[in-house]
Amino acid sequence: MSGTTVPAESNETEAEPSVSAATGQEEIQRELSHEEYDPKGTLALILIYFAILMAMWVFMYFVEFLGNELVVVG
Amino acid sequence: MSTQTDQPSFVDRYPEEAAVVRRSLLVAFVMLGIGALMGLVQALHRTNVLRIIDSADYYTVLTAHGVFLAIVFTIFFLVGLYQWAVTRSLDRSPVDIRFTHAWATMMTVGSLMAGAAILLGFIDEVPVSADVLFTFYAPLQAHPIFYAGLAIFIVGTWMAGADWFRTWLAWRKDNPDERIPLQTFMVLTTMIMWYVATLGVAVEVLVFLLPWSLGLIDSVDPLLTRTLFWFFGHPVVYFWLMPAYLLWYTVMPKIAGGRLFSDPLARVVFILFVLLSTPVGIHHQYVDPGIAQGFKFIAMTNTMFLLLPSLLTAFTVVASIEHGARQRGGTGLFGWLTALPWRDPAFTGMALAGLLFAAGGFSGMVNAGMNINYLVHNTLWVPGHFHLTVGTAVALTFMAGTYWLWPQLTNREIYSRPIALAQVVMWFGGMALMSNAMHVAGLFGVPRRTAEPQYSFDFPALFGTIGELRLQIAVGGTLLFISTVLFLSNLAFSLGTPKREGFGQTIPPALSGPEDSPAVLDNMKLWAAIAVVLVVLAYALPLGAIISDNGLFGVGIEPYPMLVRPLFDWAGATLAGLAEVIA
Amino acid sequence: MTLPSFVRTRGGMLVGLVMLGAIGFELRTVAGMLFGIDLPAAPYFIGMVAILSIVGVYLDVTRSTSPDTAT
Repeated sequence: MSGTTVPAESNETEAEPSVSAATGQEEIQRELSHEEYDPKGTLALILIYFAILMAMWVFMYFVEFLGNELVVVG
Repeated sequence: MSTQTDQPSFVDRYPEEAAVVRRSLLVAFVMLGIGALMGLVQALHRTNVLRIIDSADYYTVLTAHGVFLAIVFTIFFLVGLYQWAVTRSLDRSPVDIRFTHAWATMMTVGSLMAGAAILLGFIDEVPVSADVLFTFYAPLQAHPIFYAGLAIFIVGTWMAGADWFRTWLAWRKDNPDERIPLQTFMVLTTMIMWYVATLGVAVEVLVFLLPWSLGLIDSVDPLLTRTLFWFFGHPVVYFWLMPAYLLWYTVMPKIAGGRLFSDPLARVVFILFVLLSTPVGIHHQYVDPGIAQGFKFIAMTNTMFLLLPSLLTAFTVVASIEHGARQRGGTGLFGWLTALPWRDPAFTGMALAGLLFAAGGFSGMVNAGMNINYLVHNTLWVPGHFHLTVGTAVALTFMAGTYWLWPQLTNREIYSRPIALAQVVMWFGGMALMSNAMHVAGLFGVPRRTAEPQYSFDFPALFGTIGELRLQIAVGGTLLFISTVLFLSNLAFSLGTPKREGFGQTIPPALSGPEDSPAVLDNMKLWAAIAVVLVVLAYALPLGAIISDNGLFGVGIEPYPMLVRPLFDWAGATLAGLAEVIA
Repeated sequence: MTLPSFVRTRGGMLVGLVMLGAIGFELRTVAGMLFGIDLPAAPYFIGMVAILSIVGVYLDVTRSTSPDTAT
């Protein structure tokens, strides 16, 4: 049963559906091997995340540093 | 949920181990219930919506909320999940199941002792309390039973780790040339990190806080105990997160209908956590006087490196579920997102948890930056941040994972899948509301950790009003509480669903398997040694500086509250007399 | 307007609508914090909930009930 004992080379992924799946959940329609699969959707999502991060950093620079007076400590 | 498989389930194959896992999860969920109730009381109290407790009792509530959820709930779930993961992935029982029962019992006893000390704080007639918050450093002082309970609990976790290492060593004897299965690899690396990290809290509790609370020593150095706490206090957040990562890496691709994208990348991520989790704790002490800026800067640099494994995780996990979506027929740059099994509460819960974790990543970067940390330090921003991380990425993933794991541990179906789905979605919505409002309130300067967040100045709201933010926190907190109640009652009803066969689950192999990764990744001794070296580099000088400034036991401070001093004064005097006699 | 074929189940719709709700909620924060546009809370949230409800009802009545007919 242990998944890790299945040799990784085998494309035996006719796995059973999740026990928590809804009834009538669609089955896997096709097998994608490592070579056939290109995670470009993931890349797109991560680029969006980075774009948001960059925008927020730039925004913070303007508001918190250029927008405030100098604070002299000590 | 009527999926049938011909695989035997976990409980069919390992009934005794399944019983340990179930018991651990049940302790975790009882604590989740109490902790969530405390959370509701707090959210309604500090927003002035409903006040059923006296403000003086706020810290008892806050301590119970923090300790029950952040220590007992998370760690009990962890040991249950890890016991399952080790047994499943090595496909063998513990060397001696009595030892497994022993650590589970020790952890339970320790939790009960610490929990009792906290809850007795509500009863004025009993001179026992532990209103020291989750961050239990001096000068706040708890009853000795609290520290003793913590110590027993931590020793229980050490024994659990030893149990898993022992199982692995026995497995390795039988399989000398095989790579460590991924789930076991994750368990072992997490525990190496935990052994390193808990050194700090063990010293803090056993050398300083417990003797101090017993009256054996007069004073402790607050800065030293704080530093030792945070030595443990940052890696503990990864101790919460690692089991969630284990579920994201190994279970989520399966539920999504795909395969893990890269096993080597997963191993690298866990190694990075072993190395970098601990030498960063000083980033919680950016405003502590008595620690030189340079040490804080080193901690910040290490912290920024620590973003790397989480970003790697974002890539690997999303790529794995995209693989599932495309195997399900998903197409397009974003269209595949709709092909994911969103009706499966286990999947949806974990995916939404990951989404809010990405948001928590941003506020975490702000916390980690030495300069911008000052903007948010000790404001409500910080609880806003960690309710996204431990409160959602971890807690919601645990609840979602339970919907998948529980049937395999009991051979009983979850009572209601639609309620489960509504529950995880409600957690997401409630947390989006509450956490957002907390972040915004923090930027306005609203302090954390107070029943009465009203100081002599007005908080200028850049937009909206403070009252509106309070309402959002109250509504969000209420939704989260309802969500917890739905989770717990759904699980309670699941105890009564009829037993049946067919809950066995396999975990498909990774697209890029362990044979693609260098064997050195499996060298546990090497990584443990490097981790220790990094910790020594980061902590030797700051700890040395603190001790040489103030001595080991500080310059003398009065503990608060002074509960047990009279009781134990005589013990201290006796021991001091003894010491003189011996000297 | 043709019905969006990706909406198949009420469960999926619930997840989608709650996510849209969260995004709508955060957008008000972004408008306030980043652009200084103070959108009044009550009309904004009532409007948002109303729009999401209409969208939800529309999607529900046009939903393709059988997974087999969906693309």
